[in-house]
Amino acid sequence: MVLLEVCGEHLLVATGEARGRCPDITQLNDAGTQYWTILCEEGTLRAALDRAQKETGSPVQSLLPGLLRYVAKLRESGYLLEEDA
Amino acid sequence: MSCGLFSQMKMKIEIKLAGLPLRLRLEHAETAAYFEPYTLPDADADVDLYVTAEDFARDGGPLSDAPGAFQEYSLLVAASSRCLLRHGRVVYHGVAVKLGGRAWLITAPSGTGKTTQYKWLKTLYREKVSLICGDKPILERRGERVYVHPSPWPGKERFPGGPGGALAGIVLLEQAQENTVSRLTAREAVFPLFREFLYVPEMEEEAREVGRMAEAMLRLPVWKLRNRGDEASARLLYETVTEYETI
Repeated sequence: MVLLEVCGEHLLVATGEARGRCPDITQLNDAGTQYWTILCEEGTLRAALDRAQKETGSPVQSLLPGLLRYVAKLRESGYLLEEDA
Repeated sequence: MSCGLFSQMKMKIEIKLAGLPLRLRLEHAETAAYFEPYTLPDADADVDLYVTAEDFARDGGPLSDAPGAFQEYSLLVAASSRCLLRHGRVVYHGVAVKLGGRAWLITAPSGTGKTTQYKWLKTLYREKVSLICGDKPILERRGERVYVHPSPWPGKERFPGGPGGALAGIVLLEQAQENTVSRLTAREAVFPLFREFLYVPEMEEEAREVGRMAEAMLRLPVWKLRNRGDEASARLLYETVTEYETI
């Protein structure tokens, strides 16, 4: 997967083996881009949540539902494999 | 340089696509006919272009039962982009046309009426309209500018194309009950524009090069023409793009 920034917009582009497993291209909004970047860089949901808390200053309880919904969406679309979650 | 896994194919010809000399290696000799206008003996090509065994094996699309030569010709679209992307070029899905002397791309998913718009434009404005490529032109990025070139994939109508030029802008088509035109922001245009690149990104760098191409394209005006596919919609398209002076 490649996260591209084009004219300030963010696109997830499926490359190599990811093609056919998830949509070829998806446009992300700002929150989606932020969550995707954090998840990729941190590797686990727990670490991503900790970092999101640090970056936003929001409590875990308010961040968790949104992040879980996002992860569920990624899994449903094929962007996230079970072992990645 | 090699753009595939086959090293020995049944036929080899030299062609030039978007100014780039290529050594085209073919599994089916009949495929060469599709590239005849682009054949250039002694082109001094050092880039190999061919459909790989994986490409043939992976092809389960509607053309997979087509005669071998036509299947190879069709698979050469993505194979060409794989080669061309290393040289700042890529195959794109749309009608490339000169309107009032400037090159425009009319793009949309298949079956949305690109060819219909071209036919109306030609009928209405005759010599002020000239086709560059009817279906899959080649785009070339030179710094921040984009150039449009004809290609061996003119579409099923096989209208003859002509010389390309610097891209002046893009028109995205959408079928509608009423004809309206509006200028799109980069946010609105990026996804519909990006999905019409004809390439299969195996490597991250290929996707990034397409991103750079899209970035250059989005510096140009992008219009959305919601249209009925009628004469009035072609007039609206022509008047919009020819009256827009600033690039």
